[in-house]
Amino acid sequence: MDKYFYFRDVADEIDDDDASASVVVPVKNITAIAPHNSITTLNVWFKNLKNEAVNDYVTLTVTRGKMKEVMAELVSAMNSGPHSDGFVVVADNVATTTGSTSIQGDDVAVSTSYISNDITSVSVVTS
Amino acid sequence: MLFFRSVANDDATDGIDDAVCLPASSLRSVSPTSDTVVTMFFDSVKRNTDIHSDSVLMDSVALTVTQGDTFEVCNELVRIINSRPHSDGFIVIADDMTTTDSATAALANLVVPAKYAHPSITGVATITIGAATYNGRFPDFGIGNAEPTDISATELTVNTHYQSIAAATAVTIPSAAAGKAGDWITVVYDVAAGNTNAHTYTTTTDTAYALGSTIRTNRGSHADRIPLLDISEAADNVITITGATNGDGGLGTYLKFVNLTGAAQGWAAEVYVTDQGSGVTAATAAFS
Repeated sequence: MDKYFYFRDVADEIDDDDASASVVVPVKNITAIAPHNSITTLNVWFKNLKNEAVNDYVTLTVTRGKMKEVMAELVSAMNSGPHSDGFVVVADNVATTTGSTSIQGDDVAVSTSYISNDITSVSVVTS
Repeated sequence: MLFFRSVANDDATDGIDDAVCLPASSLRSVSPTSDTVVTMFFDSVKRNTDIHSDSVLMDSVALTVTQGDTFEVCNELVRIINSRPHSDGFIVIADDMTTTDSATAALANLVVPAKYAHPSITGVATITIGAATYNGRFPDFGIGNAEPTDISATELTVNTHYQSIAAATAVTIPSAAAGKAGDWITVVYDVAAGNTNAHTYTTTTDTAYALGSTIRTNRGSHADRIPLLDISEAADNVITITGATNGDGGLGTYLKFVNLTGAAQGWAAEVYVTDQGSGVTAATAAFS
């Protein structure tokens, strides 16, 4: 089974409306995980979403001193199983739902979700 | 995934050249690059290898090794890459870090041992990850699957085909930094530029076209029309094609732009200027 990582960087689900808000990426398309200009930001690089010339990435905010540990947790999640449907929520900043007829209802407070205790936020950035 | 870190203090782990986790599936080769260095070459992290893979350079990690043990290190690298299923897939090939960092004082500045996958690996010499640039190929005409738009005295839109007008006009090129590497623009002359009418193409935000951009003029049918070549230099941010009844700006003239870097001065230009009329008038198209 192929694994897919999910990232979302909006606080309110109503803003989840384009590829810079949330993205699902096949794990097989990840090209690297590496620090990004800071001791608390970690980039997950993957092949361009639309097969353009340069690759895309998301930026995770991580606990200072835990860069390597977060990398290891991400890799472990890539290879976890077999009791998984393949959809892995790496980081989800949503704290408020939207849509009165949606499954979760409108303006309901929900908890943000991160695969590691040392991930505190995510920014979906495309190149 | 293979982990490498080249810095001794965790508080310096702040860039992709300091630490990186790369898929083993991206590994292209392992070879000595001196008698004490084994270099692992990987598919590019930042450049899409599915696009013009023939022009995308490899990334690399150079490991310092004990002289005489390059074979043993290569052997161990392959063995450990194939070490599953007894692994979660996170494999530390080489970690030079010996001093910890933390916002918690008690966890900072602790001395820890460096870690290497084989005793003959002694450190990470360099981690080399190429920038997210486009080793440019200029686009073909017609790939936009849309009718070209007339040029005008406005900023052109990236990834769009344009066609000429006869009147003079001052066209501007968008900021390279506002777009991304691989963006392109083309202009093809299906209408000749009118006599003395100048068409200028100016990078108003960028101070220059990418160095080495070219303007060429054709030989044409008249013996006096000598082909010219102008290569852009620093501060060349304007391309001027001035129509002449028997000179520049003929049908088939074209301009191709491609954004090489997604950063300032990233627009490379390839310009080819044909003649019109008898072609007796000397070519004048040039950068400035």
